[in-house]
Amino acid sequence: MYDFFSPYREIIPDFNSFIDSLNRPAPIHLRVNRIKAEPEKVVQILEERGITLKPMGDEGKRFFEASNLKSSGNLPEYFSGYIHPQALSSCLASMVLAPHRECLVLDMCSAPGGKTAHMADIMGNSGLIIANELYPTRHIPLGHTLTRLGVLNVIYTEYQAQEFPLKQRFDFIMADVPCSGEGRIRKQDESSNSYPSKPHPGDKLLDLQKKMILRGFDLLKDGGTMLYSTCTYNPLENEGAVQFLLNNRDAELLPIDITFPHMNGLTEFNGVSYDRQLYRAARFYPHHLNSVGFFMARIGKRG
Amino acid sequence: MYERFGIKKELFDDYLIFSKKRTFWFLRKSRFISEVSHLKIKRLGIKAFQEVGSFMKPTTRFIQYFGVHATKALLIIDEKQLRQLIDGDFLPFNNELENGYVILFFKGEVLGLGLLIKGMVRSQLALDEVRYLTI
Repeated sequence: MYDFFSPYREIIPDFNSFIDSLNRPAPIHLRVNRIKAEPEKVVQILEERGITLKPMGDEGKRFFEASNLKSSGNLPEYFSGYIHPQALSSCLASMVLAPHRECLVLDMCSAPGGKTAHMADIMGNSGLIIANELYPTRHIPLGHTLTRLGVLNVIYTEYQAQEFPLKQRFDFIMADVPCSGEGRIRKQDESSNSYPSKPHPGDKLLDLQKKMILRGFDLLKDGGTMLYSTCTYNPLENEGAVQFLLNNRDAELLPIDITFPHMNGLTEFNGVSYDRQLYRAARFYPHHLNSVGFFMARIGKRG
Repeated sequence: MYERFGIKKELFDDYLIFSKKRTFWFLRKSRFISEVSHLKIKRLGIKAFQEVGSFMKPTTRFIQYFGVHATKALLIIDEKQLRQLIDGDFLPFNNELENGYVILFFKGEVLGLGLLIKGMVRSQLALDEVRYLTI
């Protein structure tokens, strides 16, 4: 594990703690679904069941670490759509994009639907979300998640994200693109020694990410906002893709204002310099947040 | 919905209803819907009803969302009764109500539907989803 991540030794602060964190399984995080339930009521029900809930961040009773919960899928509150198990870093993506009520939103790669449902929650189930997902097999879990959580402001489409029709422009776009998934590499559970396989991004994936970020930006209305995110540490897939956008479009990076611990985006890696604006991007590491490793950049289209 | 469950019609004013064959979907109204009509749409909103024989059967997800507004045809069940339903047993329903669907409430939550026939209620909950519930 150490060798695999050693190329990032210079960019990941407190590198040994980072490696240690990968040897511990990630906790279960729960998001309370306000579309269907009042957070206070859900917390009370879960605590009565003996589930220990630790609120995460200063955002009120919406995100919790459930330290003594093995699985949430067999809880009646899961079945009723009151809660959704979702990595904390994934929850932060929708929070940072912060789509307004009554606006038009595109989720370019929607499955399995956690971020889409969270955006619907933030929007008060109003406006309209286009949940786009290319792969038919992923429409099954996507539909299951969104209907269980009571998402009623959604239309499902099946386009290649990088070729999504340009006819309509959007107020907000979530571009959580396919990536090498390095941020998900972590010990699976306490008793095992297994880790997910170590991925490597090929040129094809890097090319796809660049096409998607360009198409996402082109689909924005003037004054619109896009969130580009991945669950990987690789600067080529993160700062590199955003730099490609800055080189080809008149885009600007917007600040990310959240209280959850994170590092700024990189402005240099392996002798390659990135635009100074990249410091406004955010990198999330498991030894800081105890969740999936994540990258996000909030991108604006000047109005 | 009003006749059976007492759910007021006005509650659905904010929604569009789409139908295909014997299935009906609900989508929240939005000024953007006409703007995206050029898109090839795979599905939308949530599946709300299905015509089953002479009944119009609401889906579990639909009733979980709107069932909190119901004022009649309700069955409040405890842990033991929920386990009985999951195990395939019937529960008596002591109320003069016509045969049809009833809403199952468990600890204040709308779980889904039961079917009342001749004074007995059987589960309409998807067995593969509720079989392993930690009650």
